[in-house]
Amino acid sequence: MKKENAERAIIEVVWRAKSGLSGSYEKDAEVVVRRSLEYIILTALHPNTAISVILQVINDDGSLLACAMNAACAALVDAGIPLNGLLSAVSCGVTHDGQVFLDPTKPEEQKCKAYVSFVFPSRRLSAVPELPADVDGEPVEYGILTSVTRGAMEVEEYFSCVENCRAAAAKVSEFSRSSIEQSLKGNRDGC
Amino acid sequence: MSHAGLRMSTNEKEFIVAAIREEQRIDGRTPFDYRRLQIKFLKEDGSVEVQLGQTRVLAVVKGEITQPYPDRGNEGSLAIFTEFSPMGDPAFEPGRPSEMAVELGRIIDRGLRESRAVDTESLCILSGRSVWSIRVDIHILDNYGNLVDAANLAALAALLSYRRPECTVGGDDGQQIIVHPPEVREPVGLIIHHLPIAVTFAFFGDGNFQVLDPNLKEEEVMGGRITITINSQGEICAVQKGGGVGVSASEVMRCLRIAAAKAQSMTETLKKAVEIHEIERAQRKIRRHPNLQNQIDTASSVPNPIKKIEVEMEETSEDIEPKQALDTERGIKDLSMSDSSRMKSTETEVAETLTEKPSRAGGRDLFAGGESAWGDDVKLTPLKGSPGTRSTLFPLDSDALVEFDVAARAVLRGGVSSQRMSSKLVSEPLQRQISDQIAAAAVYANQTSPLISEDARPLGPIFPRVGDMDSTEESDAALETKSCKLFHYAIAGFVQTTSN
Repeated sequence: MKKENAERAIIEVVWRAKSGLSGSYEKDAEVVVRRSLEYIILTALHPNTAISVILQVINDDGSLLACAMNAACAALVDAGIPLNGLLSAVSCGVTHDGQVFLDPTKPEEQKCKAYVSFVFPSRRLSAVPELPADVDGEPVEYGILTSVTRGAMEVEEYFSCVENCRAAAAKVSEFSRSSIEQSLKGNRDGC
Repeated sequence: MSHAGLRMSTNEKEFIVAAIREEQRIDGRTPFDYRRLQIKFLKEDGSVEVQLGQTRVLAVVKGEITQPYPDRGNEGSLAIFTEFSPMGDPAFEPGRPSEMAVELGRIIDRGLRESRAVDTESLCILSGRSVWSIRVDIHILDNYGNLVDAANLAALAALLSYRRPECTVGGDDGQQIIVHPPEVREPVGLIIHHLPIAVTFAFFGDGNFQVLDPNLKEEEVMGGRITITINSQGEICAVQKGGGVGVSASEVMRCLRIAAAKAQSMTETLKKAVEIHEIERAQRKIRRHPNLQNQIDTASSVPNPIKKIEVEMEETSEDIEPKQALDTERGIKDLSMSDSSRMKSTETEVAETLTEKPSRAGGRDLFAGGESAWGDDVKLTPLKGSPGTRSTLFPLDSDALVEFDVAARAVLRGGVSSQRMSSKLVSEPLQRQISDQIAAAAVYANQTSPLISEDARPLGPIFPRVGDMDSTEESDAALETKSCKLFHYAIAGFVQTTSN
């Protein structure tokens, strides 16, 4: 039985693994994705409704959570759900000798000391006085929305990961914006 | 057969049925036409996505070692899991599998497992203790009608492409199972005896109108449905008709005949797709020698390696005995010319000769793998025949060179007619390898063309004679290089002269 909320839409995330029954990993991932999406979806616009996001893993070659988050965001845009921003997710790993590297593949994830996935919101600010100022001359919000770590890493290494991932996330968000714009343009022409 | 998610107007429903009475379908197909089929093999073995029109199904095969059922101690097991996620259709609810999901799972299960298409006895490792348990997960990515056929194909393709790790029984007590990782031993495929293809028909009206492969809207308005699982030999593996409008036996027979024909063409398509995938897979596995790309020499004169030169060799009755003890080492050492400068100048000559040859040779592509490793800079030395390359330059180790030396000299000394050679001189294993070069060299050696005259040999003395043997110390690698080059030029010369 789904919980209904008379004031806002509820978000439901279903994560289907590639093989096997859904276990705790899937449940955990569902919660992480749902909480991240709750930040960008304007749920108050649709009371008494449910927005379902279904993620099917087709192939897992590392950075799965980041990929899923990017996919969920793109799917929401494609569905026309009103959002107040986009998400960009990246992940990076730390090797045993302290080297930070972005976007680990599956073998890399298994061999490294620890890896972390970050989700950054990507939205341009209009007039929010108390939030931090410009980044590169453009008002952009850039806090960490979600951070999921696996394995243990030093605090300095973690901060280094944050820095690297933030820079990468800017690129990812650029790319996803341009892709969305292109796909919408295509749709419009196709009509 | 109403569908919770799709809402169609009465007009639309009536239109579809009326059109089918006229043998017209709303997407333009004839009644017994399948939609466009695409089988896509994903990177991992055992993962396949099948697209039938707009219906998309993903099948994933996984295997693990478990205990067998007590009453079937020497058989592995095959299990099909279908879970309709809401991704495929808004009507699908997450959680417990719906009736449709269970039915689909059952049809595929009967077709694959109960018809013994997958050999389960070969899945046994230790009788009564450990067997392979194969699990097929079917995910519906997009439901646009006829999930059964698409899912069945996906499951089949996935089983055909799945590779399980090889395992051996060993250990002290002979009861330990060692599973070899794929890097150590090539994983092995499943044994599949036949391919049961599911063919679904939908009935309209009073059951007297049938169409093959209904799409979502047709499924909404159909009166009944029958699924026939049949293989290309015409053996019926399963028939499923659950409820719906009553259909006469003759109509069912008609459907069976059509299904048999369709199953044959589907099997062909499936086999072809699997074959293409296998070739791609094999090509991906070819490992090129890492040095081959880097080491470069001037021997760019071989853009297209010359194919084996077929020269007849007859066993000679004459007894040719190698005169000298043949300081074999020295023999090899000085296959190189004392006049290497002359060689360089004629290199270009030979190069030109060779580059003309490819067109003559017909541009034979000798590599089974991807693009040729023969760039502009190929060093002949490290050409050990790796599995992926079928080079005609055989590994010229010192043994081969010795043998060549012996044989060549015998030929020279014996003065036999061009093609005769004693095969006694050449040891069996190497004979095949170097027989062609020897033959070529023998021919070359015995030609009476001006090329061979003492002073005017452009390539210098190829076969060592008494006077040539100054023992200059040279590194083995350099020598090998030079000897390889010599062989090449010998062959080149042969080709050139034969073309004259």
